[in-house]
Amino acid sequence: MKIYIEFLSWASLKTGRSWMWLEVPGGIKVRDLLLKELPNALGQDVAKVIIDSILNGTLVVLVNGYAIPSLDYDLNDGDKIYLQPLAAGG
Amino acid sequence: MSSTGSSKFYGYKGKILRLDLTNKKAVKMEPSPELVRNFISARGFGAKILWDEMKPGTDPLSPESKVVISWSPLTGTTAQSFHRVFVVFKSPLTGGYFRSVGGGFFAAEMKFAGYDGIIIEGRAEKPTYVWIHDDEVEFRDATHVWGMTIDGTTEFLRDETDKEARLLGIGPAGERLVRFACLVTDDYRTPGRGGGGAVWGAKNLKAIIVKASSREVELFNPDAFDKLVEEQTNVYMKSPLFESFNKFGTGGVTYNFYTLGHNPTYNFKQIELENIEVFKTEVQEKYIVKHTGCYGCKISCGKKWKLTKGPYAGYVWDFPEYETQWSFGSTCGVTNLEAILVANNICDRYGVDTISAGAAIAFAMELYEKGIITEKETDGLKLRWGDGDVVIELVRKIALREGIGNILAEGTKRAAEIIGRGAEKYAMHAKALELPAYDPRAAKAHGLSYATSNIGGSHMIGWNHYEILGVPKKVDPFTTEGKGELAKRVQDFIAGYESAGFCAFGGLVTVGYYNDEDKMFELISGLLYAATGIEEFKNPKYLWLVGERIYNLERAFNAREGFTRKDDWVPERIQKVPVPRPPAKGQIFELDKLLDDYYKARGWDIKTGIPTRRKLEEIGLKQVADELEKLGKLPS
Repeated sequence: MKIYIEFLSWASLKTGRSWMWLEVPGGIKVRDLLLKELPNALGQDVAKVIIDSILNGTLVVLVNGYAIPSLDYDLNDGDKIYLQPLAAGG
Repeated sequence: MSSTGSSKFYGYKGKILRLDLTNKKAVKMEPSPELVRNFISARGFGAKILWDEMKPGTDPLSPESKVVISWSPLTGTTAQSFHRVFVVFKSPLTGGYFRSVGGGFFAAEMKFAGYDGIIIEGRAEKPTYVWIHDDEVEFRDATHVWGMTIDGTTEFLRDETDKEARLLGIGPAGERLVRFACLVTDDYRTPGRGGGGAVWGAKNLKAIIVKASSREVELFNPDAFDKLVEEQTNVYMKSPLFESFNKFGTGGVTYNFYTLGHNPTYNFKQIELENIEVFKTEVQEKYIVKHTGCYGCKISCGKKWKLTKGPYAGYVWDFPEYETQWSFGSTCGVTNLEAILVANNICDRYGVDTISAGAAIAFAMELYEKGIITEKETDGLKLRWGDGDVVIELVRKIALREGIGNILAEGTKRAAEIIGRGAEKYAMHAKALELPAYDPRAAKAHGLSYATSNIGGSHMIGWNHYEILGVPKKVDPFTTEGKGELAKRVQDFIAGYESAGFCAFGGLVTVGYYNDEDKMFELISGLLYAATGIEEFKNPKYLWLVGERIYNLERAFNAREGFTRKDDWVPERIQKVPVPRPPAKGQIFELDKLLDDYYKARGWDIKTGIPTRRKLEEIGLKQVADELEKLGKLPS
């Protein structure tokens, strides 16, 4: 199946792209997509920056526009993942 | 405890300026050691002085009402983000205690001029401005600038005083007593909420303008202080929240918060907003042409936007913050960023709170949609959702109290009472202060702060970093469990750092780095002690105590005015109508359950929502308990 990933704000600077489609095995979870599939697509070094940022909370993962409860979230064909920098405001 | 007396502390200037507008008299008083030790500064000074000096039942727009403006012993030093101006008064919108905060350079200039705060009282016979040059204080005729916007006022008064002077003043909305008129600085920073501008307008006070000749603040231990500032700067640079604030300002969250169930749409109906993607940072950053900041703050969260296309091409102005992107945007169904910027421009120049103005417009749009008001009552305007031009026209009408704007200028609660015909149901406020850009149904502790806040529906009095950011730890925003304690903790935390005059955004950047509130208080305590030498300030736990003390004193002020549990309320839509869109789909706000939990956590009387004697004495407010008892307001 195919998953759309969008890198927002500074995440796009780190990856050198704003978005990408990834071909992944059916029934994959967000965690596996990040740890197993992203390094193949972006290269180990760049993927590590993105994954570390997600794990330390600097990047927030949204699926189809909504915050997911955990990285064990099941993905479906055509889902859109948004990687947004943590931001706060009044 | 009295508010004045003899004291000399490092960091402080040792002078509060009392401006008696009726008699054109300026008196310099020393803040008492008790005031300093027990309330530190800024919000603490404001709460204590207002409690001491404002008689219950005073009309906020009468000569008897007072305004307390103050800042911090750290203001004007090299410490980051401690240069805010805290304005405390009784609100003409809510009828209760109010604290409003703004940035810019005014507070630092006042500090350099030799003051720790200002108390404004009386009413000038005619429009007046106050010119402060170090020790010299002059009451001057402001007839020629009365009616001017802030930009014109700043230009004229700088010509008459000093080209580099700093100003805090009101625009035409404050002069016309718009109940949510705000104060504005020369660089358009606004202590925005609650109607402080109307209080100044009623006093015929157009502006205070100040220029200091020195730039010095005497510190207790300059070497230790420098080291702590270095640490603070490091924290800022390494914080995961710094980059977004610095690059996009609060606009960086508009799209993000929508996805979390906030940025509520269409007057809190919360149906999906088509075209929400225009609020993404990728779109916003194309408008940014300049980064601006307040005195002594590396965050520089201010942005200037330039409009180059459409009917508003040519505007270069302060960008709309998140709240304003919501108030003139999402809640009115508007996704035209250019129109939102223009509405923001009018508010900045005329002196109007953008949150209350936008919320009042969304309220009017819903009344129009429901047929409760028609074009006969809207001066011929079609108040259709999503029409940015209508929003701009309504902002102008509110600022000048024209036609329908004259009714909306009363705030949504009063406007609904004037209009009748069931309009009350659509007035989205708490204690008459319009609700801002978070949905209480999508974050229960944050919503509890809307309901219980002593200033009404404010997002800043208890901005819940646990629920919204997951910092220092993730908390399920939808559950009601433990939310009383969580709301209390965050309210006291904010009151604690605001007693030191710290900025909320600086607070988020710092707590985002440490992932630990106590570590942040350790840093602030260290700075306070190195600046002042006051032993009590050395202990970070003391900031928690002062925060709780301030919060309870503010509550007592409202209790003295007659506020009780019945006023801790959010609108029916929030309590009964489930959110229709994910991720908060199906959520309502369980008010009574949450209130019980909150009062228990606070140690307040569950029936009345008023602090008990035991709680007041525990936090050093015995005299407050005595006064409430004398007035028959203390729970038995």
